[in-house]
Amino acid sequence: MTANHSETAPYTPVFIGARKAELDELLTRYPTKMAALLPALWIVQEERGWVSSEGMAEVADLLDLTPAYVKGVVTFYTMYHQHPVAKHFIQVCTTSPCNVCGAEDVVKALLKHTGCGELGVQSPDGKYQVIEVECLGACGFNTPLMVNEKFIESVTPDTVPELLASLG
Amino acid sequence: MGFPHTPHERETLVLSKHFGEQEAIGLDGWRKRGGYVALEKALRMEPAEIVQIVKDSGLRGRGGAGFPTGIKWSFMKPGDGKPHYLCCNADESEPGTFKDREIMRWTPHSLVEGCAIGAYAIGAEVAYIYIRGEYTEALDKMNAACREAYAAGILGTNAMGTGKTVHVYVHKGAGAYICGEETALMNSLEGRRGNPRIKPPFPAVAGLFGQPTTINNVETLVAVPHILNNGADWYKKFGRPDNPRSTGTKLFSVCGNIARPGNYEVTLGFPFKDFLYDLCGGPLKGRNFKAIIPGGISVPIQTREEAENSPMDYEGFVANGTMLGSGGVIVIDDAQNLVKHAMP
Repeated sequence: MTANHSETAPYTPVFIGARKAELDELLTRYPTKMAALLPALWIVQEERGWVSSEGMAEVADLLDLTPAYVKGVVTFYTMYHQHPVAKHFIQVCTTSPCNVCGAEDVVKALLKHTGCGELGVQSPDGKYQVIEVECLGACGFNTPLMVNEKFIESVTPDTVPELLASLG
Repeated sequence: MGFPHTPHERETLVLSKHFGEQEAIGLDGWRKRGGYVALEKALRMEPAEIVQIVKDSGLRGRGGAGFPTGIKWSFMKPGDGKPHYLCCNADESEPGTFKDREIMRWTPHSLVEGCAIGAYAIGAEVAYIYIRGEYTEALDKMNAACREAYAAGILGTNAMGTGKTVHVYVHKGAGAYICGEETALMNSLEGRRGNPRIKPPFPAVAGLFGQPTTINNVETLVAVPHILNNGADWYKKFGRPDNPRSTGTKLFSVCGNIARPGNYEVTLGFPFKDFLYDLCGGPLKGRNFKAIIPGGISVPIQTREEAENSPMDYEGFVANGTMLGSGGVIVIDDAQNLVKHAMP
């Protein structure tokens, strides 16, 4: 993921050069342009770190959709960021199988050691943001979490400081 | 990472035989292990023959519903003049379940092959593998496997030199539990919000892009090459002799308060008591099992006694008050407050 694009900087198009070619190849896989919507939004997020209204409008234009329709889709899915997120965006699984093994204590340790204090709130240094998510599908290796695109398993409250140090 | 564990001597390794072997992830290593032999054979058979073998094997859907796979495939009418589609449900969103992830991480080509055979059998030229967005490693492995398969001529418009067209594409979800439900999955793949559809129409009539569609789970599809290679009778041998309705091996994901969590492959009908105490090592030190959810979080919870009486197959779990579901075993011990976990 490239550096987060700020909310105030002017928007420049994502789909030029290699990224446009990537979208053109994706379009050959489906009988409709609309089916390339989720992959196109992923490209925007990979490039900019989040999906802005301008990003949605660019995608809408390329896929013959309206910006309102694209926004409706973006808001359905939890993994598209509609605002810039912290450098290390940490998603912790707290669904039952992980919770019976102490996931809540991992969340508490993360909120304390990152300085975030609260779920969803960025740490004062802008480095961390912690949210709880539904099942990450790694229930045997509790507690699993994701830092941006990286999957990390078997986190305990004791290993949290070491984990955070390794992120840089 | 969670895998590999050392397989227990009472496991029956078919689908998981090559888990943990780094070399098996790539195409060359997979071919050395017999990869794509079944596809090559399948592409030279009549689709109806493949459907019949899968019917005869007794294979049932491994995603949760347990519907007979061959019968599901037979709903796709050949020669109707419409494009057909295969969707592989790799959303694995049922809490307690993490088996498909291991299949995709360690043996991605087994899924490419299973999808290619499934697509050909139902008269589809395109298969989509819908993988949840959180499974970043599985996504990387599956994308790499597809690229290798295209470069080697296994997929494409002249699949394995047979002149047949078989495309397999990976589609990345974006965070939505509901997209593991098959009609929501199709909406999501079409670029819509992942709301479920009302049935009928059933997917075999009007599914993805309004066309006849079959949706199969990852584990179901990866069983198919083994069935074609070894025959329906070979597959049917795995199971309780007194229960011909549940055949084959099944991956069970085990999590919660238990000594050795992980993925285990056993024959259907395996005694659940032996599974929990012998294979998975029983409860944590000084504790006892209180309750067990054997098939992912949406199936009814069992008491310890009910669980210990259950044979691990579709009928065995129903007879003991619950369901096989997706095979996600969640173990809860006597140190837990069930009310708290039931209402978080």
